[in-house]
Amino acid sequence: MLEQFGNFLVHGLVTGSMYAAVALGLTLTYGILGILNFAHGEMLMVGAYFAFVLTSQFGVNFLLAAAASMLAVGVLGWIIERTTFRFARHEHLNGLVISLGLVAILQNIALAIWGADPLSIPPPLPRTLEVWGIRIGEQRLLAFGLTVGLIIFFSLFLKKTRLGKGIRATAQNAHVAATLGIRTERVVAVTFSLAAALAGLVGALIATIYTITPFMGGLPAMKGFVVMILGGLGSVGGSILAGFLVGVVESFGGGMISSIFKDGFGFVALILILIFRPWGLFGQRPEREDV
Amino acid sequence: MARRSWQALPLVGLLAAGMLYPRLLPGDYFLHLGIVVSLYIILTSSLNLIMGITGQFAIAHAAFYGVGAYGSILLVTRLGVPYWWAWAAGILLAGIAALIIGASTLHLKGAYLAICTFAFSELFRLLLDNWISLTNGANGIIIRFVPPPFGIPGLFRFELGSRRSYYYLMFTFALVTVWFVRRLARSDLGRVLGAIRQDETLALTAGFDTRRYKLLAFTAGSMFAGLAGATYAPYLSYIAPDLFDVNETIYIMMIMMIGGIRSIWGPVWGSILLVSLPQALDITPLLRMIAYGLVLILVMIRMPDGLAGFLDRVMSRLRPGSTWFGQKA
Amino acid sequence: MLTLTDVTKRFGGILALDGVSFQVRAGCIVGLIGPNGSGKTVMLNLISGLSRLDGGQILFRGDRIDGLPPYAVARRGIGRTFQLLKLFPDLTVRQNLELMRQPRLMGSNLQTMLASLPRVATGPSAEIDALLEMVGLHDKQRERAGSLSYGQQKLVAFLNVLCMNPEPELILLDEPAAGVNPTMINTLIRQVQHFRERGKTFLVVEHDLKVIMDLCDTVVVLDHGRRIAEGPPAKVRQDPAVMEAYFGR
Repeated sequence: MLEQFGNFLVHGLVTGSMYAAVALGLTLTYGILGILNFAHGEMLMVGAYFAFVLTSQFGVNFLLAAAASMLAVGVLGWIIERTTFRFARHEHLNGLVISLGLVAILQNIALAIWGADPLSIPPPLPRTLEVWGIRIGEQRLLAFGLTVGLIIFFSLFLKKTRLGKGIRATAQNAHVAATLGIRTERVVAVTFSLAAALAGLVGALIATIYTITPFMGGLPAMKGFVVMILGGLGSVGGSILAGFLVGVVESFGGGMISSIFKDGFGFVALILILIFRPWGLFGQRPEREDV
Repeated sequence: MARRSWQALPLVGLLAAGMLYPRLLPGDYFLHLGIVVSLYIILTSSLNLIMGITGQFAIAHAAFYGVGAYGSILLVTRLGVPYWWAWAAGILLAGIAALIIGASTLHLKGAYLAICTFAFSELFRLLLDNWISLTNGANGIIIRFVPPPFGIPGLFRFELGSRRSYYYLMFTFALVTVWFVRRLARSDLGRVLGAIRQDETLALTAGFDTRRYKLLAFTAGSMFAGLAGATYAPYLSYIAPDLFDVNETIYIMMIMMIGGIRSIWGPVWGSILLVSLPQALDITPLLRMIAYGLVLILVMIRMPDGLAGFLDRVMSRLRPGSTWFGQKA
Repeated sequence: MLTLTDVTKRFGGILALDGVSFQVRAGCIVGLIGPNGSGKTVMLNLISGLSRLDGGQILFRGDRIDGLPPYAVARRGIGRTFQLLKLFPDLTVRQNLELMRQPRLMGSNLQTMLASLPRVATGPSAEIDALLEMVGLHDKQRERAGSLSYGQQKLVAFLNVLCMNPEPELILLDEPAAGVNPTMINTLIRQVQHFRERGKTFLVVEHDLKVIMDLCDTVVVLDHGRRIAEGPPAKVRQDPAVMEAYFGR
């Protein structure tokens, strides 16, 4: 029983780290662009395919390939922001439709190049560890470690560096930030590109655990939105904690109550929490902000 | 008064166009297209009431469409209820579901409301997928009955034996939906809904019980989605959970945005364009979808008010003050 | 008319209002002043039901109104404006007023709710004409409210409150003169006085001391969430506590 408990917890935390990373990217984009970017999942997908091509066709070492996908998707994000989203900032419905257009384009380009058959990257660490009866693939641990490392890096970056502070200031109030001499235009592009890069890396990691298809981005993006709202908009720490929370809740719910309903537990948690805390777990309670 | 009757001209135009359409473009293929366009006019106009006019960013519309479809079909197949009674019950069920979901989510704002309603919508799909004994799960339900004729004995009688008659039925409902939303948008009640979109706090301190108004708009809009589902399902002769998932809601939203949000006629333009455009682009499906994506992005960047707004701008150059194509609510 | 007793409001650990009590008598114009962050707007939000009290009570014509939702407070006869201008920008000036004039049917039952459906809101109203004429906005009535100048929009927001249905007896004005040119301020002062003569009561939050001196019968001064003075404007002005709060030590 205790072993089972441990298994659920560990696997939940591993999945949760992915959710947290995706939600972190979504929170950054939402904070700074005011747009629910449905194409965020497609950044994941592009990252996964990029890493796949590098490792399987050019024999590049996986870690290098993952870093390269991060970079490539970051550049892609920058291009996307400059050519599309910047025309629809804080127009959440227009921005949403633009992101849907991007989903259609990216998915179908991937479909044209690689087809719909699932691909996968052979995990560089194929063994399974067993500690105190908890069984977990080493690859999952690697993915977990890298994701958590990156999340910590990003949080510190946002807290400590000049650019990070600029990002947070712009997210809070773009006009004020601009008058304080922050080049908001550049900050927006950089933030979007960083969020994309983060997704690119998560994509490469997911590709070693699950399979790669042109449609693989949909589910993580949906989960990411749930996590972002659960954590409370604008709260980076909230997104991260909520990511782990949803991962663990799903793992326990799926393991102990119903495995087919696994994806539903996160939604139930969200609905229940929003009924009591309409501003999310760690979001700022709006004291009638518009008054 | 003269002014008022001119304003109704587009509605008459739509009626005439819809009635003439099967004669101008005969054949099963075009009738099918007409039925699908009518379906999306119902779905987008009703979403426009919730999202465009009242400004509630709720993304569960396809779930209510699904409640109408599954509700009525299950009543017929499991309980043997006569179709038209089941049809009415399907709409009512959609309304009840909307009341419950609306009452528990409409205090939320913006992205919170969007994601919370999305969660409800996905729960509904999971329910359909997993309650196999009732819904047959992901395999869906094949509908083997043709809706019986309906009418008032001695007065009129409507048979749904042919595709053509189905077209007229769906088109009539589309027309009714557009008429209803237009009428509502211009009533006292509609003004309040618009006021809630523009500044809810002000509406609240002015003495309007905004939650009730939002709930009313949400329920009314969702019941039209239920009507679309209950009417369309027997024609489709097959329903499955993924027809009513969040992607469908997103598709409906997309049509609304491309057509022109908050415009009475936007949903009509959007439905015609987005349903027929993929058929008209005679290229491989892959390229077609990529082109589709490009069109979405370009329209949203170049015409943020959608087609309706664009047509209005063009028209008002020719005839100042004209809003025949858009008619902002 | 309005009696506040020991009104207290906390935000997290900060006491925004600390046991404030005062009265607004029917037919008076009462000013509520104080330095930034002294809790003036918080007070208006508490009265209008937008936020909840942490202590004390608010009586309006003898009935407790704290704890009521904002729409219920409004229906009892309290209207308000906002510091950051609030009106319905997509409606025309006239439509704004017509909307406010609508009977508040919702809230009783479904039947009355649906009764407002068929009514198309275009009926002529002499009352609205008169109001627009009085402030000189008659020729702007068909323009989008959001397209007017800031001062004109403030006037529309003021007329909106006057048009509320049921008619408000007590009107809360949150910085009516802020961002408005002097001519417009005078129009506004005249309007407030005019409606006071017709029996309305006002509670005015304002930074512009000249407006307060010209307008108010009584002034209540807040500082750091406490009431530090109350009385006729001329007297309050001489009060050492007030001087200190405004000009520092």
